[in-house]
Amino acid sequence: MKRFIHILLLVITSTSYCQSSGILSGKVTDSLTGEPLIGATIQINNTTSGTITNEMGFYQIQLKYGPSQLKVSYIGYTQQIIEITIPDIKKLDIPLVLSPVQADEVVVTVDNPKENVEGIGIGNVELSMKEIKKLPALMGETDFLRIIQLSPGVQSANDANMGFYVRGGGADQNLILLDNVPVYNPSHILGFFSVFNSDVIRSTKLIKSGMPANYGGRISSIIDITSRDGDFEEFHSQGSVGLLLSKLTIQGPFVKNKVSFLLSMRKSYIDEVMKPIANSMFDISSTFYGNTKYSFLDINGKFSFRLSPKHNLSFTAYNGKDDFSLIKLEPDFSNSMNWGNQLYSLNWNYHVNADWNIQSTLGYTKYNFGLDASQKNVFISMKSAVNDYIFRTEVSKAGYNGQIIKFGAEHYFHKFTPNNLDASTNGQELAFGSNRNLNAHESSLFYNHEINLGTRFRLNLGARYTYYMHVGSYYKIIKNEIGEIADSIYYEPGEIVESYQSPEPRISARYQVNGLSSIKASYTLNKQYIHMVSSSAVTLPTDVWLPSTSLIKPQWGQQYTVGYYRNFMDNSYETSISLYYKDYYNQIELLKGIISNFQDNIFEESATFGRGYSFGAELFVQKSVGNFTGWVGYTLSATYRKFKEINQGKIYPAKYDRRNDLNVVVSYDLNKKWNASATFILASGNALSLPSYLYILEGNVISGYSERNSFRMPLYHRMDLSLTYLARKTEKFESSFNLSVYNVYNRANPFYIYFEITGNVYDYNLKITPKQVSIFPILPSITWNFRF
Amino acid sequence: MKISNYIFLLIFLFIFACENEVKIDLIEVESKMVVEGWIEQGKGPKILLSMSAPYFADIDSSTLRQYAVTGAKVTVTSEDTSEVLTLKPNSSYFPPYYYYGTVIKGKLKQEYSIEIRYKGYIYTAITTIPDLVQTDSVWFDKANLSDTLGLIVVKFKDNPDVRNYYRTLTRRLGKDTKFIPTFTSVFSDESFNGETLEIPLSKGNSSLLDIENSRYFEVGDTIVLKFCSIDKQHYDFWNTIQGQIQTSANPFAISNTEIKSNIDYGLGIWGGYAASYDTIIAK
Repeated sequence: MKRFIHILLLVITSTSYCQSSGILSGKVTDSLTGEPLIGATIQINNTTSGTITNEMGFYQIQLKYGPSQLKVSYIGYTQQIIEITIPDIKKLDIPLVLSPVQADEVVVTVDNPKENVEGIGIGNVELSMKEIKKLPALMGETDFLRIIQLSPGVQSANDANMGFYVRGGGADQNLILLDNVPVYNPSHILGFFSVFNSDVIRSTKLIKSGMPANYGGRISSIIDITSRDGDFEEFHSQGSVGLLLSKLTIQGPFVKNKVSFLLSMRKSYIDEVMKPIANSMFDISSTFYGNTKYSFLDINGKFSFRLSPKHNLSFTAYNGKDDFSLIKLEPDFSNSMNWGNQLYSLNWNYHVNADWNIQSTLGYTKYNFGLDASQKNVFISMKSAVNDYIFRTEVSKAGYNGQIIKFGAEHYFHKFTPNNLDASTNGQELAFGSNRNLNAHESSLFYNHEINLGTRFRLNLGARYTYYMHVGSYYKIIKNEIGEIADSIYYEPGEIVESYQSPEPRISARYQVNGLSSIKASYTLNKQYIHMVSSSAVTLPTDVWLPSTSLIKPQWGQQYTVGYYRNFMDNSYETSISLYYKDYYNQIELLKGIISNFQDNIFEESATFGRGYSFGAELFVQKSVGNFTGWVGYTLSATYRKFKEINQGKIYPAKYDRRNDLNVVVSYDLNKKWNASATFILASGNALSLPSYLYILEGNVISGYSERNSFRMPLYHRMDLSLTYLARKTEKFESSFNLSVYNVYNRANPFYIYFEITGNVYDYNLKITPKQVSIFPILPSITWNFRF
Repeated sequence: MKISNYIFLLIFLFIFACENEVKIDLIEVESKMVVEGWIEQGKGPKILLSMSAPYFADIDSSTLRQYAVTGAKVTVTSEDTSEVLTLKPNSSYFPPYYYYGTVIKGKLKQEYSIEIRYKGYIYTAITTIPDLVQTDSVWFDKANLSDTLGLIVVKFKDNPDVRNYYRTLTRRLGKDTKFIPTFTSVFSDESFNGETLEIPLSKGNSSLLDIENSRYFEVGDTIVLKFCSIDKQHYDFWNTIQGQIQTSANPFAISNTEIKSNIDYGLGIWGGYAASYDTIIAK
């Protein structure tokens, strides 16, 4: 391999000597803080060719011999015109001065059409909040997780679900990071809304293949979310008032140019709005609604400190909560559930000098679910929780010729409580033996090297090495031949019960055919040491996370990708076609439900392990500049599972196997005041298992099943529209209205299928009819957004 | 426990759901023998035989003949005694016939096997009547907010030396024609081995089809509780059946959980009961 690279270098360097042009490279920075400016434009004056700085603020541009004029610009900064002569100058750092006019603070990720061809990222999706806010929103609430599900290779489970599947991977194989700290359950109300308030998000990035080595711990994808810093100059407020929820964000400086804050709160008033509507629409007893309460709340805070030009510190806090209660549905009966995430992240960024940067994170994240149910003298309470303590440090070094080296270390201490169950009947405690925590350490080292080999080749070589330990306290149960508990071994807190270690190679490469097209390929191997076991066919708050133990082996997967990227019409159209093949090992499935049977609460024993396969092709066309923007994504794919103990060991389609998936997103600026946008989805139905025969026992109809997931839901399609009107925009005040219509032509998409049984066995008139339940008919909504 | 059903209710609180009939083409599968047989201490065996039906088959009096099995040879064997059972019509069961015996009577701690010969096929199963666990007492427990409704509570001492499996059924005299399993009708002593326990029991539904029925007994009911000890296979069967019935209203439950039958080459159960009976008047 090394020799191959040498030869390659020789070939490339020798060819470049023959050219009558030279390469200019350097870094664009903030003149005051020295902070690299990502996505700054360097344009050869009076031409359309140019380049954009990379994530370290570096640029590289090919210029003809002789004098050239460069226009360097970045939003919020004063534009600079620079005259240089090639080959006299080969290296040039360009500091830009902050523009005296206040920058439009919503501007986030600068669209960079050239990244499609020039970047090494294969199958990455970056979203700018400004664009997302124009798109149709369910009940008027902009949700980037819903938008991400409109990109190729990503699919949602169904209408009301934030659980999503990336290229056939499970819902637990996506790592969602908020300021470098994972969020375990991203959904409110079972997935109608995500926990991410769009007003506090600066940028989001989805990586579905070619995952660099600085990311790890999950097999299928990374969603990296960065929250916004508060304004260091002035105070601002912004917010929105919608039909079901409202939110308010305030931000500003504590100490001008030194310390800023951003506080945001979002609260739902769903039950107040929906109860009267539901009561008038449905024939369900009003007491049912009267005794039901549901609400959610999100609080985000961020404090940012510019300690010195070299040191930046920020502290992010998030707290979200869902509460649901149902009282007196029947005499003496009550039930309440609550769940939520808590997250803290302290990030310290140290710009050592123009080339070196060190970012360190200290974080804590928690997801907990609690349920209390009682009926007269029987009480049941169930709790499950995930606690992660995180330390992470990442050193990056930028070198000339576009090199980026990243290395670092990451440590997670997982403290999982799979299900703490307490139950009593008439004062007598029942012993469930499940009141235990499962603790584990996950330590990783990573190294990632991105390098240009000549002008056309860019290579990213990386590796990750993880050492994982399941530690006490823990009772390891030893069983005899007939499956009875014979003995148990106790492990002291911190004592190693089981350990795993392994390297994860990551390789990706780009070959630039010309200025407008490139070919990219990648191979990655990912290990995942934690698992989510689901009691149901969709992700619910009751889903339980488990770390690897001696019975649950780490899951892992490999992905091979190749893609062709081509830009058209002066980079205004970006297109790509990519092919992937993935295989997964040690995938977990429960043979019994978590809740349906409390008496088997040692999950490891009801778990079974198997393999998964998925492959597909993705087509993507995007236009991100001009009045008319949007994308079309099409995915053709297949996903299978194979478990020894399921479907008699035969291969079967995964529940989220989806043959065809088409997404269209368009947005058009009619003028400065009006924007119209639309989204359209067309997808094959999900696979599901349905009974194929029945029999009668004790008067009950018992369903018999044959092949797993051998049925298909009907086709899913839906169109959403939205119209945004910018009522007023001045430097001090901005006000806009968004009218969204969800499911414009009122398609009844299947949410689930069930069987209605009528008649009676004993009267000999039994009849079974399949029924489809749909949610979300045509739903118009209006939201007022403001900022001052 | 149907926690997931409450989650399901939650979904319906906030969305406008609508329902349509949908057409589904189901795969044709071969019909299988279904056995519902039991033997209790002091009583002779009873066995109902039927064939499984395609899922969307309408069952009415004319198609019934297709599914009832009336021409089988059913033999029960215990120790050295074998008996061929006799067919008898009985309209309170489905199918409305049962095979019964008079020679062999159930005994505690005894094994019983059956052999069914039908159209050239042979189906077999074995069950045990375990030792009896006596109830200590049974009473009616009125709900706090109601004058007329309540549950029944059974108090018993579990045997600490063995793993016990229980099944509870009730019959309201004058209201039910036979014993109906309580809402949660099977449980094992894994969480209370060797203890003296009071367990409240909710009224079960006579079939899946009257799911709207109350889970409460009413003041004035004369209730007979049949409290049974059963063996592991017998428990596994009812436990998986109970799981399917309880999750049938929950669309998100993992369906197609396999029913653990003890019938070789067939479906259903051949089970032994060590039963004790208590009669109370709800007041």
